[in-house]
Order: sequence, then C-alpha cells, then structure tokens
Amino acid sequence: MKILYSWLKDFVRIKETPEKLAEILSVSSFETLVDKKVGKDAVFEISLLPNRVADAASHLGIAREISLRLRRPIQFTAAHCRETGPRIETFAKVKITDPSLVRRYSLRALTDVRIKESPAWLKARLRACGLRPINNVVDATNYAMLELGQPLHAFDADDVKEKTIIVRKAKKGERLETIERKTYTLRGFELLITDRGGLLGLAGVKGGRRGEISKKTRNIFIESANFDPATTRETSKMHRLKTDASWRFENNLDPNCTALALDRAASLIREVAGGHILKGMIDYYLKKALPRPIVASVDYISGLLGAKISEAELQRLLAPVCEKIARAKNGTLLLHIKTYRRDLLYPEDIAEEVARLIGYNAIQPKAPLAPVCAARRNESLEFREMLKDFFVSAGFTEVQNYSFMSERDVETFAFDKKKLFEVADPISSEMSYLRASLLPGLLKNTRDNLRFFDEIRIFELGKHYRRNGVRPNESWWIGGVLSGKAAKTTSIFFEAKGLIESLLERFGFDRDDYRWSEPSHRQQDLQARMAASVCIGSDEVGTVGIVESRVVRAYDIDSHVAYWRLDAEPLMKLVESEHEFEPLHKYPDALRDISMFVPRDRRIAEIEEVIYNASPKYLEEVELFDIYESEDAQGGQKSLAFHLVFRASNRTLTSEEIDKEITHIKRALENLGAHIR
Amino acid sequence: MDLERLKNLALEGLEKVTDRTSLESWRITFLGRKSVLAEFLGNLGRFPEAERRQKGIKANAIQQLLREAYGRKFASLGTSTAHIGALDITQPGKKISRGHFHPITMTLRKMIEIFRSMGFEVAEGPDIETEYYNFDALHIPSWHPARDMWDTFWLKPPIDMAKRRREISVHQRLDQRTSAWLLRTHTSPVQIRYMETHQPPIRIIAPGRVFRHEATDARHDFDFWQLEGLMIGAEVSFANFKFVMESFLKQFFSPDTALQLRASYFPFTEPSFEILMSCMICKGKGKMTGKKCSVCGGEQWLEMGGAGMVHPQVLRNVGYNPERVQGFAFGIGPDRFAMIKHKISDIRFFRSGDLRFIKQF
Repeated sequence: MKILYSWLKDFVRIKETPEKLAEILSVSSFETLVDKKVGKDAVFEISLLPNRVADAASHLGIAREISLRLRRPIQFTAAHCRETGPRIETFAKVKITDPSLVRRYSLRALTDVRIKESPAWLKARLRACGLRPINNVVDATNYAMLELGQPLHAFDADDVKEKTIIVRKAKKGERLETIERKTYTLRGFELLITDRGGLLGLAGVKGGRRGEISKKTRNIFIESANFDPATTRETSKMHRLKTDASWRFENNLDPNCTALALDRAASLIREVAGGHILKGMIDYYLKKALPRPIVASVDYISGLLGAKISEAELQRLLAPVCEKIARAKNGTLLLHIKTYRRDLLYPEDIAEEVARLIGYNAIQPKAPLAPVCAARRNESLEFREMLKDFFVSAGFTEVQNYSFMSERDVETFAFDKKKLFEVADPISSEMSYLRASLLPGLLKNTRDNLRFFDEIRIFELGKHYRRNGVRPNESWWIGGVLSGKAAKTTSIFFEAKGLIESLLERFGFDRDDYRWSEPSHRQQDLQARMAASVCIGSDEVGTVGIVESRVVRAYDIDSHVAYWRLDAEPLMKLVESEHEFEPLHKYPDALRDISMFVPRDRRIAEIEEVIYNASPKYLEEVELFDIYESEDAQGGQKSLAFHLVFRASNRTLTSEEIDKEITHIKRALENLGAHIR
Repeated sequence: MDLERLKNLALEGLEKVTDRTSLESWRITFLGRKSVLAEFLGNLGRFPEAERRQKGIKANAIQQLLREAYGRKFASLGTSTAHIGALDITQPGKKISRGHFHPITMTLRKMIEIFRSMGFEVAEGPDIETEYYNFDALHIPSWHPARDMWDTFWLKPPIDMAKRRREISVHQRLDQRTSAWLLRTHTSPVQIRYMETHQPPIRIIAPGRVFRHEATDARHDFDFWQLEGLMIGAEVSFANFKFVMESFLKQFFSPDTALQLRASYFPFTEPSFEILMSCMICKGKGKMTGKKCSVCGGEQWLEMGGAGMVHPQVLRNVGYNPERVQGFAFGIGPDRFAMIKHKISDIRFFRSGDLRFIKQF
C-alpha cells in the first residue's frame, strides 16, 4: 500500500525524516519501505498485517498509528457538509433485502455537478499513491478512501430507476457488466447494488457500467457502506476480482467509518465539481458498533510478557485507543476500545499492543524455569540418522530430491495410480504426483551427474507416499544407487549386496539372522534375474537389484545402475540393543582353502550349506574369496574357492583331525556334483 | 675399575656415532640401567667407607659429563641433513574417497543438538495432513484473509465425506472437518497433535518438510524444511522466548550474534513477532570494505523466521486451559540457516541432487 509522507503530516506532527519514520514503523507496526523520494517528500510502501487492514489502510490510519507509537496528538477534524437543496429522503430511497449481509449503508446525493478533470493537487496525490485519475467525482471518492480507509462508490443518480437503490443477493445466472467492460455471470451468493431495472454494481467490489459517471452526469449518489467480509472475500476470489475496495471490506472495516468518509467525499466533490449537497444522509444502520470492553489485567500482561508493567503505564500506553478506561478491581482495567481498532478483541490482543508499544527489543530476556532433565530421545529419528552415517562412511554422498514425481515417472515405473496421491494443482508437470519411490529422483541425479563424475555413489533418506483408498501411507526409506561409466552389472550388484550385508552386520545381524531370496512381489523397476530381497524373520526389509534397462534408458542413462533400498521403520524395530562381547578364542584357528568346479547353476548358498553340514563340529567360517566363470569353461561350469576356518574351543586341532574334516567336506561336495581341484 | 679409561672409551665411541640408531646403542651401553657405570654406582657399598665417597663423586662426575655429551650429540644429529632427498614430503598423500552428508542434514543435526541440549524433545508428524490440523486448529478459519498467507497444495481425490464418516472411529472425529488432504504448509500440525496427546509442560521442536504453492526463486522453494518449536508451561513468557532464541542463535552462529524482534501477525499467536538476526558477515554494519554486504544486502538484519505467544484459542482447541498455561511457539527455516552459514546463494541447490554442490560440504 502506498502512503505519501506529506499527506500524513495533515494529521500528525512528523519531524522525523522519511527513512527514520520507516524504520520506526517497521519495528513496531508494519514493514515500511521508502519507495520513492520527490525532494523532501516521499512515498512509502507499507505491508499491512492482515489484522490491521481494517484500521490502517489509509493515511488517517497510519497517522493514528504514528500518533500512538510516538505519543503525539492527532489533528483531525471531520468534514462539514454545506447542505443546500431538498432533503435526500424526497429524492431517493434505499432498500436492503439481506440485512445480515449489510452492516451499514449510508448514501448522500448531489445535484448539478459538472464532470471534468480534477485539480492538479488532487491528481498528484492520487498518482503518488498509485491510482490513476479519471474525473473529478470518481477521483474525489478515491481520495476519501485513501485518506480515511473507507471505500466509496459514486454513480449517476439519473440512471437509477425511480431513484430507488436495492441491495440484494444475486440470482444464479444474472450477468453484470462492470465499468471495465467485463461481464460476470453470478452464482447466486454475491451481494449486488441494483435497482428495479437491473444491476448497478457488485457490492464492495466493482461498480457496474450502468450508472457509471460520465461527461453527461449531473446528479450523483455517493454510497459509503459496510458489507459482510466473508461474502466480499468469496465474491472477490470466485470472480478473481481484487480491488482496493474488496481488500478493505474483506478485512472487516469499522461500520462507524462510513458517515465520516461520506461527508468528506461529499464536501470534496462540491469543492471540485460544484453542485448542491442534498440535506441529510440515508443511513441504514441497524446495529451500531460500540466500543468493545476488554479486561486488561496487570498480572496477566506482565506474566505473558515476562516484564513488570504497572497499572499507570498500561493506562498511559492504551489511552489513545480507548474511549474510556475504568478500573474493575485492583490491578485490572476495563478498557472500552475505540471501534476503529477491529483487531483488539481479547486480553491477548491488549498484551500484544502493550508489548509492541513498549518495544519488543526493550523487554529483557529471562531464562525459563524448567526441570533439568534430558529430553526424551526420538529413536526413530536417531536410527535414520545412523543409517545415513553408515552410508556416508561407506563413501556415499547424500542427496535430497523433491517429494514429487511426474506423469512420465508414473508410466515408466507402472505405478498403480489408485495407490498414488495426485496433486490437484501441481507447480509443474514434473511435480504432479507425490513420489512412491526414491528411484525416479535418484535416476535423474545419476543422469545429471554422470556428465561430471565417472562414478556415482549416492543415497537418499526420504518418504514414500502411498494411498490406501483415501488414507495416506507415508513410510521412511533409505535408497541408493551405484553406477559409473565403466560399471559392470555383476560387480555393482554384489557391491550393493555387500553394502547391505555390511550394514546389517553393523546393526548386529549375523549371516544367520537374515536370508536373501527372490523379491516377494513383482519389481517393475528391477531386472527379474538380478534382484534380491533380504528378509529378517518374516519381514522383508530391503531389496537390491540392477535397474531394468528399459527404465535406465527412459532416463537417458547409458551405464548400468544398481539400486538398493531399505524400509527404515521395520528395520529399526528388528535391531537388537547393543553388540555383545564374545570372548576371544584361546586356541588358534586352522585355515584351509578349498577350490572346486561346480555346475554354473549351483547356488553358492547351497554349497556353503553342504560344507557347513559336512563339518558341523569344528568348521566355524566359510568365505568365498574367488569365483570365476568363463564363457567356454567346461561346458557350463564355474570355479569357486573358499577359505575354511576350523576351530575348537578347548584345544588346538591336529592336522589329522582337520584332514578328516576336509575329507568329509570333499565327499559331500562330490556328491553334489562338484569337482574338487 | 679404571673410571678414567671408561670415560675415554665412551667419548671415543661417541665420536664415531653418526646416526640416532647408533647413538641409542651407545646410550644403552654407557648410560643405560645395566651399563658398567650404573652398576658401579649401584655397588659402591662394596668399597670401604673411606673410599666410597671419593669414588662416588668421581663416578657421578663422569656420568654427568657423558650425559651432557650425549645431549649435545643428540641435538646435533637432529639437524643433520644427511638423509634429506629420500622423501618428497610435498607430494600429495594417497587420496581416499569419502562420502558426504547433505548440507541440510548437517544443519538440522546442529539445530536439533542445540535445542536438545536445552531440553527440547523432537516430535515428528505426517507430511500429508488434514485441513483441520493445518489450519482450523491453528485458528485460521477458511473464510479468514489470513489463509492467503499460505498457498496450499491440495491433493486429489477429494474425500467422499459420507464414506469417510463410516470409515473413521470416534476418536478421530476431529478429522471430519476436511474436504481433501493437503500437503502441510508448516510443521505446526505436529505441535497440535503433540499437545492433544500430552499434558503440559511441553518443550518440543518439530522439524520436517513443508510445502507451499509459490513461485520459486533464489530464496523460495515449494518443497523445503522448517523447524518449529513450542514451549508451554504455567509461566512461560515472552522474555523466556527471547532468552531461548538468543541462546540458540548465539550457539548456532557466534556469541556476538544479536536478536531483534519486529511486530508481525499470525492467527495462532498473539503477540506475534518476526525474528531478525544481526548479519554475522558484516557484523550488522551493512557494508563490507565499502561495498554492500553480500549476505544481508546492506540491511544489517536478516529475517530468520516468525514466533509469538500461543493464542488462547489454539490452547483451547487442544484441550488446554489458557488460564492455567501459556507459552511461545516459533518457526525457523533450516534451508535459510544453511544458506547463511555456508554462504550458499540459491535455495534450489538443496534439492537439485547436484554432486558438484553437495560434495563441497
């Protein structure tokens, strides 16, 4: 909102420079910037807080704020109308059919006005505040609005059928053409200014073409009213019509303003356009707004602010906004707040007023009194952070992507739309759904970064958003990608698998505690042959796999990509407390290696099981350290080599004992079709 | 034994020493625990009393002499340049590839750590929320112009109200007042949910992702982080808020960071204020070497968030009695804090996935 420095001086003494004034107001009242300087004068751009538009959206309003804040008197005299001409009641009539939507309707009339350009001083002030001068009558009403905050509307009285104004709700389908030559079809809840012949304007929002002030206008009505805020707001939003008037009305103006502004406008019009002001005012005002009584307790305010305020100081600070102050009982004042301060309704509002007038920065900080005890831990958050720690220590870089995905992502991954949340009004087509997987984002990251880096090792901890019917289902996942210009599928697959196994070990899971198997449900994003899920007990906690080539290509990536993901919450529930110490072995381990050829389709897990079962008493560890599959090797065979670790808890094993174990193992393997080397 | 001969032997041997290893051997031989000299001194008792003293003095003197000679030799060998040229210590060490945390993770961890140290518990909640928890419970009714302060992402499908009523249980009656799901515009819903399930006193922070349907620029994104705080008790005051916020800012940035509050408005707090902080780059002067400070643009004060004393209606909405409890709430942005701390120029880097950016931290 634009406010002119010199215009403010009409109402309050200001000795501060525009810059200084802007600073004072910004701290205690509203954000004020010096927008333009013209010599010693200046135009301010003021951002009003929503709760202060009702009283401060005008020069008088800002002047009152300055007077309150700097404790200076306000210099304001209400305009006096020189009334000549008959009584307005003989000239016009007003009918309000929906009293609940019209708090006040005040009307004056002028006859024999001459429409022409406004005088220079008036045009200058309007322009400074960002308004375009039109003609003397319209300009005068705008001037009064900028000065006093009350929107006014002037219209040609001769266009009003039988000079009877009817304020009513719209009927569905009615059409109104505004002064701007735009036509609106109404829904049926909007408030209208009408006459028996048709529509004259959208109440509180925009005037109609019918009744607009033109060169031929001789007699005018000036309307100064107070319309229901909610209706004005809905009308403004529905028809996308935001005006200086609608903005003020939707913020709940003081009905007591209308007469004041009406008189000001009428006298100003007479000054610049001539004519006769008819006697009196039609003033429909059923329920007069009265000063609101609020209890201000010294104890409450001091307690809320944490600073001692005395009763005398309360009185001193608040007197300018009160019609009357009475003492209720010791330490409590009953304040009768002037009606223009629509934001002061309850004791907490008074507390705010006191605080900002004293100055937020003047109140001293005080340490709170609270029990000294550690806050309860958020274990879920801590676990998730530990997951991040693990991957960073494994050399991965953490990324963060937007929580959305595009229509294309949905198609590529063939997500079931019935299980997704779609955004009603997305910010772009890229962000039309809430993401149901971390992979689309990670693939985009991979594509973008492969331009600059040869190897990609990234992960993200974030939410999957799914939908069950109407219920949302958000879950925390940690997922990552391994890729690079020279990435080979088997090597990145096993690297990802090893990573997960390492993580499980970090969180206390032995190799016996989990099991790798085919993923339980169809994975659209991973290659069927190169995907595995890890289960702890009956819980599937994660998956590792090579991303489907079709998917990878859809993201313009040339390299192979391995993807892993873990379901954080179920995993956390399965993690036992701390690692337990295992006593160190007293007797030395015996190490042996064994190599063999096996049919290519023999699974490692099976071979390991056979080996363990062949030597249950002393064999402690079996570790695959070499695997070789050549294209032409012995008709579909692969070569495997294992480290074997034998141990007894009560003695050192002899070579003979170990040889015996090896023999058992070899025999069991040969039964399986292995060829020992 | 002939002490004089021993001394000469030792000194000759020391002459011949050219490196620290041989020096150490020499030291063990002549000055060590089991050396001849040490044993001699230890066995002075076998001499008759008359000779004991004289022999002792002489042996000690020799020992002292040898020690000094050793000391000089040790020092001289240190400055010896005999072996330079074998290793170029300026050659870069073996590079290890390390992982990186996202800068938001690091910023959030620091913020949470500071608040936890002041006794604040961390509360979390869903990103997808109801209109009730995001607006109505916070005293922001649908017809109020204040709703315009938050541009909302609404989700499809709109809920079939009749079907919903059949689905939900008695305890969730409050959720009924929704027509659709939305993405939370702040983490205030978490505070409401927490207060509904806990008795005061309350001391929590609620970090989380929030969503605003706004045009993006260097300082605004539509999907970003927020950290809100709430402290409720019998006597929690505005002065307490100042203390807590000041402590936090001083610990996060530096001890000479200053706090300024300006009048503001939120429907859920009264009084409400804007939190500003002195720019730590130009120390609140607005200028650096004559030019406008790049971080604060010459403003001297940086906007860091909003706060206020919780509105009594909000307290009533969660079932608290505003005559018995009061307190403050605040909201700050981890993205903004990270940008200022690390001088990051554009908020959109955070969710770009650009490794050239993330790997800098």
